[in-house]
Amino acid sequence: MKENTTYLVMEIHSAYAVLLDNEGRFVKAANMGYESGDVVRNPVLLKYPQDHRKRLHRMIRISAGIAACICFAIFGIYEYQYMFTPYGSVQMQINPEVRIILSHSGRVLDLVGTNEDGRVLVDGYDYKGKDRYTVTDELTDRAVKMGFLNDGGQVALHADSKNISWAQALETELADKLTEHIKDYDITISVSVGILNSEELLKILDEPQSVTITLPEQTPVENTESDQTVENNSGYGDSAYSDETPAGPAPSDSGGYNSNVGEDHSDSGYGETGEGNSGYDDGGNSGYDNDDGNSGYDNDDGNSGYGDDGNSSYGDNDD
Amino acid sequence: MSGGHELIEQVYAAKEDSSAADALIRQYMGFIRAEAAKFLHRAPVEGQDEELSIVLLAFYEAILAYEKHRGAFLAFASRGIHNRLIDHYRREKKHLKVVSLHEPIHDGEEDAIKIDHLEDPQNAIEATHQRAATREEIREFQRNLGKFDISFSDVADNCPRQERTLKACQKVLAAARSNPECLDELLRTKKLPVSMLSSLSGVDRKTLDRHRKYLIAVLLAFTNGYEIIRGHLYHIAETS
Repeated sequence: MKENTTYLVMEIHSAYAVLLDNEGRFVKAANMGYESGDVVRNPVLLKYPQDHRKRLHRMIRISAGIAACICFAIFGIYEYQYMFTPYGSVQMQINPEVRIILSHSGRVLDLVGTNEDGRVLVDGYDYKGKDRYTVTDELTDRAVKMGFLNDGGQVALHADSKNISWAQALETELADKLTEHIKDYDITISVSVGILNSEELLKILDEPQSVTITLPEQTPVENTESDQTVENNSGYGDSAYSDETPAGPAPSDSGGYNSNVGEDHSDSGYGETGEGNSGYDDGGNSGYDNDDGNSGYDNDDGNSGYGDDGNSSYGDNDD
Repeated sequence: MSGGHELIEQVYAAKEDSSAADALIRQYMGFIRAEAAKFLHRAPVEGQDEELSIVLLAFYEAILAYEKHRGAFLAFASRGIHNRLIDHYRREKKHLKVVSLHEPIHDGEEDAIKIDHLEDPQNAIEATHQRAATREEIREFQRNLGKFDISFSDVADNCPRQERTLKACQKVLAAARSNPECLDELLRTKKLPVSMLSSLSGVDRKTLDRHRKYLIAVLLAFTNGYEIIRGHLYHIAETS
C-alpha cells in the first residue's frame, strides 16, 4: 500500500465502511464518521480472520524453516567434522612406514610416508575419497608389487587417537580386514597390531633366512687312507687307544696336539726319553704293574679285570 | 442458555450476511459502548471518539472470527476489542506530535475547533457538487452491481489481498479493456466470460473463478458511465 493512497468511500455500514483505493482494492475499514463519496487517507482497515490464520501459518512455516536450517547447519557442521577433520591416524609398518590420517568416519584425509621407503610407497597413490580399509589393502598390494613385502613378511598396524577405544577398535578392524584381504595371496604375510620397534624391524630386515636341508643317510665307508692319517697324526702318539681304535671320522689335524708328523711315529709328545716308552713306565712296564709285568688290577692270573682274554687295553703298549 | 445459542446463531448468520451483521451490531450497541467506555473511562461520543469506531470494527471482526469452540461470543468479542484498541493506541503513539484539526481552541468568548479557522483551498460549493456527483455515480454503480446480485460488501470480501493475485486481476482487466467485446459480453449475459478472459489474459481460470465478484465490479467500473470512479482508479488506468 502506497503512502499517498487515497480511498473513496463506497458504502457505509453500522460497524464499517467499504472503501475503494487507487489500485482497485475494495476494503472494509472502521467508519470514522465517513460518508459515501468521501475521499479519505489512512483508514483503519479490517483484519480478516483468514488473513490472521494465514499469517500464523506463515509464521509457523518460517519458524519451522528456520529451525530446519539451524538443525541442518548443526548437522552439517557435525557431519563436516565427522567426515573432514582429522580424528586419528594409523601407523602402517611393513618396511615402508606410512602414516594414514583419518577422520572420525574413517575417511582417509592424508597419507604420509614416514621413511624413505614409505615415501616411495605412497608416491603417486591416489587416496582421496577412499576409506581406511581400501587404503590399507591397496597399500599392502602396492608393497607386494614393489617388492617391499615378500613371503613371511609382516604388516604392523597401530592406531592413535584421543579416543582410545576408537583407536583400539580401528586397529582390530583394520587388522581383520587386511588379514581377510591378504588371504588371496600365494605368499604368507602376517598382520599384527601395535608398533614394531627398531630391533624388530632390523630383525625382519637383516635376519638371515635359515634353511634346514635334510640329506639322505649315508652308509659308513672304510677309508684306509683316512685311518692311516688318524694313526699317524694323533697327538697322543702311541696311546693305548691308537692300535685298536676303530676307524671313524676324525679330524686329520688335531692342532696343537700334533707333533712331528711323519718324523717320529713312535714317540708321543709327552715323552722325552726318545726310547719309545712313556714316562709313566719305569722299566718298560706301566706304573700300574706290580713289577711282575702285571697290572695291579690283575687277578694275579696275568689278566686284567677288563678283559677275560688276557689282553688289557691298558697294558698292550709295553708288550 | 437458549439466549447463548440464539446469539451464536445470529453470529453465524452475520458472518455470511452483511445486513444481519448490521442488525446484530445495532442490537449489541450497548455492549460496544460499554467496551469503549472501559478504555475512555467515560461514555463515548458518536462521531467524535474514534475509539468507538475502532470498537465497532473490532466487534465486526469478532463476528467474522468467532467459532463455537472458542467459548462465549461476548467474552470472545471483549478480548478482540481489547486487543484491537491496544493495537490502535500503539499505532497512534507514532502520531503523538501530530496536532489534531479537531482540537478545540478557546478564542475569547466562543469555543471552536482548529479546522474552523483554517482557510479551505477548495471551493466549498464546488466540493459539495463534486461529492454529490460522486455519490450519485456510486449509487448508480451499486445499482448496476445489484443486477449481478453483488454488493460492495461482497466485493470487498472477494477482493484479492495478496499483491500477486491483485496483479493477476489487473492483468485480466487490461485484457478486457483491450478487447471491448469482453465487457459487452459481461453486460449482455450478466456473467463473467471466464474462458475468454482466461485465454486472453493468460491468467489461470481458477483465479478468475475465485475472484469473480471482484472482477465483475472492476470490469463494470470500466464500462461507460463511471468517470469519477475510473478517475479514482488512476493506478489501474496507468498500468492497464
